[in-house]
Parts: sequence; C-alpha cells; structure tokens
Amino acid sequence: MANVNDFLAALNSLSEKNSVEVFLPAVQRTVKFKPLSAKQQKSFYNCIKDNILFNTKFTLTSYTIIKDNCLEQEVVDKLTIIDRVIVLLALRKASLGSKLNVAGYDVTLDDCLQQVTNITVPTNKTVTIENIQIEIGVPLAAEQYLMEKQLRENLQSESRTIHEAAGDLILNGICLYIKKLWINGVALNYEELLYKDRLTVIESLPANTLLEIQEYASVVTNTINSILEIEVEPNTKVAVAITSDLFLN
Amino acid sequence: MPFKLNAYLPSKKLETQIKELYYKQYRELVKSLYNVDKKETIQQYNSILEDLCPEVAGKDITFEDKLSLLLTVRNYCVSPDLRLKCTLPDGGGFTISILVESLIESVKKIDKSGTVEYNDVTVTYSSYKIRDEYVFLSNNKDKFDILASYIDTIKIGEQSVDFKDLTFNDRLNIVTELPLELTNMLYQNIQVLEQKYEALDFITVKSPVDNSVVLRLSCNITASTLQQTISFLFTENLNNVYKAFYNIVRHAGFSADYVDSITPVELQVYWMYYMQDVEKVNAQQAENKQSTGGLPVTNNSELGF
Repeated sequence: MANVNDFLAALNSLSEKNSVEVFLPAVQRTVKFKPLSAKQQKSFYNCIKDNILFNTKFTLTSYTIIKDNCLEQEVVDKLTIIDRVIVLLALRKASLGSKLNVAGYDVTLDDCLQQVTNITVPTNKTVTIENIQIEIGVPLAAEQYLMEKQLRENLQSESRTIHEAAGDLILNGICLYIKKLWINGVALNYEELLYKDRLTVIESLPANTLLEIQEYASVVTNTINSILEIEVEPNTKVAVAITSDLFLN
Repeated sequence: MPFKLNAYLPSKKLETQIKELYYKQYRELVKSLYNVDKKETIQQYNSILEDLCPEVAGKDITFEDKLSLLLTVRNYCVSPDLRLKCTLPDGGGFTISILVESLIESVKKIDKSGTVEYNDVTVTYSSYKIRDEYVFLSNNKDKFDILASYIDTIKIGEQSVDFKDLTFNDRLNIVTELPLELTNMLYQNIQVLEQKYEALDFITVKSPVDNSVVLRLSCNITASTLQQTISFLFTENLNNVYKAFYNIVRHAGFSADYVDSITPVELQVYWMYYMQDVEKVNAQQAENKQSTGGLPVTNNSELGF
C-alpha cells in the first residue's frame, strides 16, 4: 500500500506518460504537456470573478498551469501569447473533449488546432521614428504573466468601464510588444524596468511611434483570431474565447 | 453474551451482526438529537454503532450501511413501526405508520458501487462514508469533496491506495491531483447513480385529504436524507424516556443497572406485565369491594413507545 506522497508521485508519472503533444510556432516543433489535473480545473473556478478588462486571474492561472505542465521547462520562457492560446486549446481538448458550443453553434477545437500549422508568426521588427528606435515582437506569455502580476494581482476589483480604461488597455498592450528601446542610439534598459516604469516610458513616446506598434499588434491579433475563428456557415464565423469558461463547461 | 441481530451492509454486500440496543444507548441516541452541535450528534451515533457492531470499525462504512444498521436496531429493539405525525397547513393533522422492515428492504437494494478504468488507473467507489458526514451537512455539493468520500481505492499499475486509511484532507489531495478527464468520468458515473436513486421513493407520505405528497425522501441517501430519517427513527420526547425509566425502577422495582442493560422493547414488555398485574390486583380489590389503599400506580401512557 502506497503512502500519500508515493501515490502523488505515481500520479505525476502517469500524467507524464499520458502527456499531450502540442505544435508550438515559437519553437517550430511539438512539445509535451501533462494533461490538466482536477485541481487545475478547480483553480479556473477562482477566475470566474475576474478583472473584466484585463482578465488578470485567468492570465496568472493559465500561465502557471502551462509552466507546471510543460515537460520541457527550457521552452516555457520562449512561448509567445500565440503559443499560450494553442497550449490552452490543446489542454482543454485533452481533458474536457473537443466539442464546444459557441454562440449557439456546435464547434470542435480540432478545427482551431488544425489551423495552427497554417499560421505565420510575425517576426520581430525595428521601428525608427526620429531619434527613437524600437524593436517590437510578439509578446511572450511570461511577460504577459509578469505584467499582470506586477500591476494588478492585488487589485480587488475593476470599477472602470471599458471606455474609461481604453487608454490603459492600449498602453498596456503596447508595453508588451516592445522588446528593446534606443534613444539617440543609446539602449535603454527597457526589459529590466518594472512594468509601471515601462508604462511611464511609453506614455512619453511620440504618438506616431505608438501607431506603428498598434499596427504590428493588430497583425498578431489577427494571427490569434485565425486560430480561434471557425466558419460555422458560409460567411459566418464564431470565435472561441480563451477565458476560464472554456475550462468549466 | 449479548443477543445479536442480523443486519446488512449494502455497500459491502455483506451480512453482519449487530448487538441489541440497550435502553441506556437508546436514551443517548434520543438525547443527542437535541444537541445543537450536529457534528457531535453524528459522532455519538457513529460511536454507538461501533459499540453495537465492532466489525464496522475498520470498514469505512457508507451512509446506506449506517442507515441499515440503525433501522435494524430500531426495528428489533425499539419498535417495528415508524409512526409519523403530520400537521397540515390548515392546522389539521394525521398519523401514518410505516413498517421499518420495508425501509430496511429499500436500503438493502441501494448499490452505488462501481469501477472506472482510465489508462493505467482503476478507481473503485461505493458511496458517501459516514466519517465524512459532517462535511456534507450544509448541502455541500463540491465535486472534489464528493469524490474524496465516495472513492474506496485507486490503483495505478502496481501502486494502490486505500482511502479508508487516509484522512479527508489526504484523500482530497489525491482527488485533486487526478487527471481531470478521470475525475469527470467518476463524477458523471456518480451523478447517474444518484439520479437513478433520486427517482426511487424511500419514505413518501400522502395527504389523506387530497392524496398530495406532503413528504418525500428518495433512495438517494444524502447527508440531509440520513439526518432526517434518523430524526424520524429516534426522536422521542425526552421527558417520556426519563419517565419510563423512572416508573420501571420506582414502581416495578427493577434495578437501574438492569433497566439500562435491556432493550427499549423489553422495557415495554416488562411494563406491560407489570400493568397487567396491577390491573389484576385492582380488579380483585374491586371484586372484594374492599379498599386496601391499592398500589400507587395508574395506567401510564407516557412510556415513550
């Protein structure tokens, strides 16, 4: 008869044995993930009452699960927000099945996952405006996690409407896309700054800089949407929402 | 050697023997229903059951097993009838009598056990365990709590764990670490079983006025059903219980220790004999038309039976 710790170790080995293989664009190959445990699904229940603008709890919970379940830890820091979506879809499919109802249409997550191989991940690019150079790229899932942790983990509730917070939403999004920053050819240690300080830097950038970054961000958003959107009728598409609800149905 | 009764443990599909319920224990069962701390009441019932049936101590018995044992002692040691007094909204009322034997038969047929196999894992389950009853007192429907109580064993390859050896928290730790797909399979199986037994009547009381159902307990024995049935089986006016004890000692001359070591039904039989004697004496006295002062006892209807 096994004791509790031995048995928990056996359960962990079982999860590794029954791992889910997921193709990840960031590393251009499949990576193995342990399937969701009951406890991990339970943690999604805690995200039901979330910050409605930033989905902070869900962002933190889902990243923690991805990190805990990835069987190649060296890959975790390379995962982008596109990979994050793919891993979450794959984990959902492996544990709760592929079928889902979106806006009254029965869809399968297989349709989403099949589209993963067709996507093109935007490469990093450098934007130069006047004396400012900015390297932008697809945000990493780890950065998204750290930003929420630093800025909003302890925020009790969000009282602003989406209109009132529109500026913050845009700036927060842009903040994640910036990888490096040079002013007059001198590198600013941007990636070492706290996120609140990064936001202060961004607020002082010229407006046309931000427009360039927003354009790049919309390409990334479209890439993610191309995975999540499923054609249910001719000229009618529905999008699978990556929220805690996906794991509670 | 105490007299033993045959009882049945539905979750183990096993006949067992249970000792008679002494008047002292009956008094404790009745009294503990008045306790506001329900956890203590549960502990007291479980402790008395372990005294009556030591065999169950290491068996991690279920709600159905507990009910079966309590119904058995109630049937043979207290009364074979369960009388329920119903009060209607208009103030009227009626009394119905249910055979305890029929309830025993219903409980015997409940089988919530099953096995789920998933990859290399085999899980066996039966039902809610009585040691977890307090967890489910406040209508707790948490999926993981239910699984932690229902599961009997889990086997992964050569390693196995027997839930009866673990605390509730340890069981919960294991359940939450199970693959989500497996817990969903288990929970769905349990829900199907509970729905099946929910559809079966355990106790149903219909109004004699319009035949509408005024009380229904299903065969899906939850903590609330168990509590309600126990209260039906063992609720008695405490004053009656003490008065019966007092009368049989004071007037019939039995020793208090002896009364505590007989069953409530035996006490009732002794009291009946005693009353017959009193009646004979009274009849003789009336026949002789002589007043001797008589015995200081009149017919007592407050025996609590």
